[in-house]
Amino acid sequence: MKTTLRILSLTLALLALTLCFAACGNKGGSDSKLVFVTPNNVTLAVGAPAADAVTTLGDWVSMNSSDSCGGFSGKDYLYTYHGFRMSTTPAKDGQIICKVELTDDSVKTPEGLFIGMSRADAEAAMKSFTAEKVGDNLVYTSGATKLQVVFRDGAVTGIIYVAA
Amino acid sequence: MENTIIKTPKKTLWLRALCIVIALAILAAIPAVLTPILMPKYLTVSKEGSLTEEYYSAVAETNHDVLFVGDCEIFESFVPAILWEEYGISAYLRGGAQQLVWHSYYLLEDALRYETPKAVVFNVYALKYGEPQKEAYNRMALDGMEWSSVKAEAIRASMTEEEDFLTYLFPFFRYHSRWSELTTEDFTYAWKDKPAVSDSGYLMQTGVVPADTQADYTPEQLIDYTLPATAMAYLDRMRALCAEKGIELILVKAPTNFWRYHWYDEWDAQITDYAAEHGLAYYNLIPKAYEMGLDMATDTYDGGAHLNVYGAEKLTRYFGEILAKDHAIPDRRGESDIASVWQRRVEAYYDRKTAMESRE
Repeated sequence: MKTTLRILSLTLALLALTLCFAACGNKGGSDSKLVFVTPNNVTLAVGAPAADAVTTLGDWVSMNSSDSCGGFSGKDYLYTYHGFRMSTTPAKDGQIICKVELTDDSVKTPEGLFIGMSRADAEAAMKSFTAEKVGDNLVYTSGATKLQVVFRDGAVTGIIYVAA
Repeated sequence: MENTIIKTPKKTLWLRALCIVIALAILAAIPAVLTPILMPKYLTVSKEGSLTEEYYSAVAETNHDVLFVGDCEIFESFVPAILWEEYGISAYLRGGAQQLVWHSYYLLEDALRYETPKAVVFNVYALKYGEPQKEAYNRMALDGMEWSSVKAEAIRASMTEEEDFLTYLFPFFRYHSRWSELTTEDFTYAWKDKPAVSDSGYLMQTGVVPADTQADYTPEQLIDYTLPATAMAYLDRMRALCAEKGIELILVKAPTNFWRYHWYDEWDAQITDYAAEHGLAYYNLIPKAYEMGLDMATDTYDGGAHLNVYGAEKLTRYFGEILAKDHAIPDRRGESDIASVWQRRVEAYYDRKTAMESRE
């Protein structure tokens, strides 16, 4: 009888262990040196919670939202501000910043990158980071963030922070 | 000191062995019993997850001359009931939420185990993705597939780094944590057939949320506009599979173009070149939206990302004519066997439309 109980207990213990097994994983957070600081001193880091940033940034020029494909809860948002725009997406604990894109020369990155600057100046400004070439463009990676710098005719036409 | 050896009686050994067998049987039986309860039913939430499995009962009824494969721009855009009603075309949509090109390839290969259509229409938007994106989309596309070597290959091609093949083989190990989210629906349909959420793969939406036509949106710049090689390799495989079976492959881009799902001119040029190089028809329907009568103030349910039923019907009438005239897809309305199946399907489509409209 004792043996029977032991085996049944073991069975139930194994079952409980299986039930406790969780298959979730979520990359996130921002351990990157590549962040954008807005003119009103709000730091926008890819992977960081978006709620505080949206509040601090104040009025946007426009805001678009879209449901996720597949009926999952939560929406994606695109906030457009003067000089840049920020995309957010739902994550486990609320909206996170998933992309920041500079849109004109009224703003600069902390390293001094801005839309319209020459390629040589851009490369010099980013010399402390290692660049990866993608076509004519350059991608800098730090932690979980990539900074994509797009060039056309020898000048910067795009500066985009995305998840690595 | 005297050693005493206690012999275990044979009867006790048998009893222990029996206990082990019973314990193992319980271990195997519990997942087997619980899995049908724990598996998501995709009836009220994320209905798209039901689309893959609904195909099998449809193809058991009748074959189809056209199979559409692709992402949400397939199952929200083309209405097989209208194709039948207007052109006598027997068609089915094997589309899914963020169905990537390898999902589409394997769902097509899977379908070809049951039937050989005259044409396959593939929506090209998903070619922008070169890597698996999200486990939830894999589950919605793959869990409903019937088991075969095709499904096994589809899983291997689709898994994200965090996923494990065994959880597809034994879904209990993936869904055990759903026990706290179970609803009546999970018990009702654990061992019972679910009602169809789609009409031949078309997932109806009757809501109207106008697109903001005043919005001045410039699409984001991309670091590289080259469509990923992995995705294009699956398009090659799809083309080869169709050629091997004597099926015409037709490429299409649905007429929607939205800030979040933007179709770039650079991508369009690559697909145009690909189609020309391989002698395929390619229809970019974005510039044809006005011609087919689409009005994004009334024909979208989510601000312009996808068409609602009113937009989808307009698009289907437009594209059905192309299929009938330019691709010689036959009109089968005079064939009584297939016509009786489609009569039921068309009635079901309008019943659903009436019911959904009355709830709006």
